[in-house]
Amino acid sequence: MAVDYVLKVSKEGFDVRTAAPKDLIFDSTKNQMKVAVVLSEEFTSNGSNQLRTLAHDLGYIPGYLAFVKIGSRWYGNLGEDPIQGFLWQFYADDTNIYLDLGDPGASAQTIKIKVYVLVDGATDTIIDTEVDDDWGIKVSRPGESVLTAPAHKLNISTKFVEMLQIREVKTIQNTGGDVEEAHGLGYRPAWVAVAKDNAGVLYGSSIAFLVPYLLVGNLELMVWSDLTNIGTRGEAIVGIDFTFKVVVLNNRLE
Amino acid sequence: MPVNYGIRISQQGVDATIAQPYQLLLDERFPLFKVHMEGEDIVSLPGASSVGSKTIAHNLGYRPIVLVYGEVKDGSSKRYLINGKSPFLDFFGGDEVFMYAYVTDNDLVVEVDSGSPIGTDKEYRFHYYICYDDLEF
Repeated sequence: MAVDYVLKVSKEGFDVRTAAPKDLIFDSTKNQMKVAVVLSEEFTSNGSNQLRTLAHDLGYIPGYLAFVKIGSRWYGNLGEDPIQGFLWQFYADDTNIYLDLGDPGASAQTIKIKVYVLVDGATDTIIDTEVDDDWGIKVSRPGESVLTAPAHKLNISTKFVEMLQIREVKTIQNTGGDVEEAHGLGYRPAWVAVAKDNAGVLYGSSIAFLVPYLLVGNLELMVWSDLTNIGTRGEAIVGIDFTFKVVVLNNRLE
Repeated sequence: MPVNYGIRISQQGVDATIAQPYQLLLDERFPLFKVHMEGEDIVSLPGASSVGSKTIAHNLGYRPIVLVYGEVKDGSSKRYLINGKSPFLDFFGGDEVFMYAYVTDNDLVVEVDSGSPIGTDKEYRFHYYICYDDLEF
């Protein structure tokens, strides 16, 4: 039977009945990525490398967006901070989210972590989670009862923290220095960022990839947020134009 | 003119009409990440090669936001969010390859690079989400 019911909201200026999927705010026929749990930790650096472990208790390897605060800046899931030289990377298994932190021997300071652990898995193995209470707005995937569907079989659920794309920041980098733009939110937001090599000097101009991106000692593309700004930085790209697009999320890191 | 239409859902205990963005679950102004394609796949790396790749057609006609989670050691139980190149540094040893991911107007491409041939055939699994959301470069 053809689907003849749907809940859609289009972007301003688009007819919801004919809008392309990219011009919709949400669409109940599509899975919208959802946050299962938000993990936070604060610890003190000690001049040595550390492995930090945050339990997610999902029983499967989840997708995630991860951030670390060093100094006043919230950086993404991997990187090298250009001020003190900390190095880090996050990864996940079916029990924990991990942060590998390489400490350059800097003076002791507070480091903060925030991880948005997704309902959506990082493999094709997802264990059914507890069925939500029967309240809120929920839309299940085709063939699933909305009353009994576990989290990963729901397209929309108001139980979960959502990742809303509240604005975009575009910068062009070619100096190797910092480029910042005010976000005006009054808090430090999470983000997703991509970049491309405009003229195809180092990479094809037709491709785009997630940042941060690091070839230590060669090319480093960094993004951060602080209380005031979204910042971008491209080391070792002097004279080569890279465009960054930062999708600023509603989620508050701090 | 104040907005007097739309759909907004706030977190429990917060008035939806005055909620800050971080207190909202749904808002007619702010797109969610809508998944166009999701799947699990493998990059094969023959023992005599140092690079391998896998192309997945999305056919959207524009560069979409993608999230890729991959393993950088054959059979590993760890998954990394794959950026331009990730992980960039091996703190604890045991990783075999770098894994990259990028998008074009019609494809997602995932590549691995071991630097030099490993000598035995390897496979590196990854899981991907290709969203409808347009990067609009």
